[in-house]
Amino acid sequence: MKKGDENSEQEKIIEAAKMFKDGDAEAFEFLYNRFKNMIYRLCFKMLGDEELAKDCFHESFLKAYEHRTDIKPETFHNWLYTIAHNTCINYLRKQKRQVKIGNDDYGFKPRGYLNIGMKEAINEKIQLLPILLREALILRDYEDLTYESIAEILKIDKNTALVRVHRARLKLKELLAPLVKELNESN
Amino acid sequence: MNLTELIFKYIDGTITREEDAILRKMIEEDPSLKRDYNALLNLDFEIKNDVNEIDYPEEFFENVQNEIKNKIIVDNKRRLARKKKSNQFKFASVLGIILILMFSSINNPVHNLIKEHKEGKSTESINNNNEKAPISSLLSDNNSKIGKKTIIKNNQRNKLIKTYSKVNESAKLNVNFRSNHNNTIKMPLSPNNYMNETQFAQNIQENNLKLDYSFFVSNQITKNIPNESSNFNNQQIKNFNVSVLNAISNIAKSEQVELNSFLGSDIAIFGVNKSRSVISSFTQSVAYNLNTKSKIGLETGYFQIGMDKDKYLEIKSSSRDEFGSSVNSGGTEFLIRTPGKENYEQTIIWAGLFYERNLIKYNNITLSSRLGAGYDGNGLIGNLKLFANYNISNSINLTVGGESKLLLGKSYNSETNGKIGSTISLIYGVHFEF
Repeated sequence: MKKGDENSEQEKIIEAAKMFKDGDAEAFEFLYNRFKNMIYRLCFKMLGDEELAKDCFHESFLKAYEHRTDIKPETFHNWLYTIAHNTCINYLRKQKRQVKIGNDDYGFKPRGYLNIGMKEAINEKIQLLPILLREALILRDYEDLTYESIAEILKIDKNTALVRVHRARLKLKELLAPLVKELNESN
Repeated sequence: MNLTELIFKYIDGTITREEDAILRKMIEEDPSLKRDYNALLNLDFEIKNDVNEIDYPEEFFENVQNEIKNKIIVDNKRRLARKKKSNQFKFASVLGIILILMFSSINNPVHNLIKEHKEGKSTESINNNNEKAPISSLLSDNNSKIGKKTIIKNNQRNKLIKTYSKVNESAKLNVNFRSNHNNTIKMPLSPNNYMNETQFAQNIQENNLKLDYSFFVSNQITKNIPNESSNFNNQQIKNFNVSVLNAISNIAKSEQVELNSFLGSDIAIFGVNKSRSVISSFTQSVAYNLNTKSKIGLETGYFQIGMDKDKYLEIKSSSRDEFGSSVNSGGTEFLIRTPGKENYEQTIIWAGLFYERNLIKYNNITLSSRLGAGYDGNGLIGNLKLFANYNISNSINLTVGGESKLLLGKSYNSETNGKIGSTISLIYGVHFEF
């Protein structure tokens, strides 16, 4: 997308966010269609389950509507990501999926990868990352957000965001090493 | 700087030319580093590809969109209805104030007479300079102390003619008065003859006077024709003045009654989740003056509560509620219960008694406190007001202050939002004396 188009798109989002703040249904429709894929992707990657991702997605947009008076139009997409991210965290807690928030729960249980492709392996291994690393990795590599935006959404500083993304990539690489090795050998 | 950092910079697109050269040199020199480099790049490539390969549930997206859009439309309708109601209330309030002002202004000439006389003020005649009022002249000749003159405008003329006639008749003075002026009537008043309340009551009893507001609207005709040549003695003149002032005093006595209207906006609400909640109130009261500082009265009003209330929303096309349990609707579809909110409104009407006391008076401003207790249909309600009255005319004050309300009944009670325990509000309004 060209710079001019980006600016124009951003202006539209700001304008729509202002109108949505006042309860405009059409503005909501515009924003929803603009961000639904991103929010769903975030939910899906964070939770690793389609049904849970749907629930989380739905609740995120309901919350966005209920709390629309808090919108800052200039940073609408960060605000929306923050809501979706917090909702995901709540879901993970509620589901008691025994995923601890922290860095100590990182664990890798080796299994055969002969019938598993790289895509499936990545999706599976992302779920094994500690949440703090997972969310940073998803926001950076899947959502293509800047480190500044990640920092704002996760309420951390930019350097911490950068470190977490780097650590997540290394962990993921480490988790995928057996598969990579097998694939290399088979080739 | 190690290889990993350089690779990440490369992936993030922030690597410089110098760093890129270093990275390439390191990879070329060490095959194991090259493997790491390739692994990380492959990983990044797979992730980027994966973004495009996610299956998005378009039907589900559409359902959610429709649901929230419908919710927005319904909420907007409610908001408009609430706004309309609020506008109607404002309109009614303004109309009420205008009517009261009109009513108040009807009585103003008489109030002015009373006030001016009480305060010993004099108003010069605006009558035609060439004419002299016969009554005034006559009285001046016979009683040098009588010099106060008050001018009544033409449109109030008839009322005062009736007043004179009634007083004259009631006082049994065999004196005929005449006003031969088309535009004004001069009303002689003597401060020395003004009676206090006890004397007035006695006088009323003795003369069997029954003067009230109907006095002004009666059909009594000024049947007493003036006679400029009549002779008066001082006693007769005094009696006349006393009678006139009695009539006016009687009217003045009706100033014992006061009417207050307060509008209120909440500053703080205790006991409930105040998430986007609001309480507005309206209070109307009638007070009776016990003395110059204290009054008691009857107070009634209502307050409107508007807030978001927690509610579980049921949504189709999903299989788990917020606790992870499946919820079957009984058919082939599944329902999900998810926490949501709905607008909640309640109007609570209450009534009670109060005691009010003036605390401080400075120029036109009076600081007062009012303690009240009442009932709102569910339980007791107590309130304490502290407000300042600013006197803007003879019978109208502007009021502003604060109110603390304590709700002991189930004025608002919800399992999720709790019960309103107390509120602190800003109050403002108008205060009328009659």
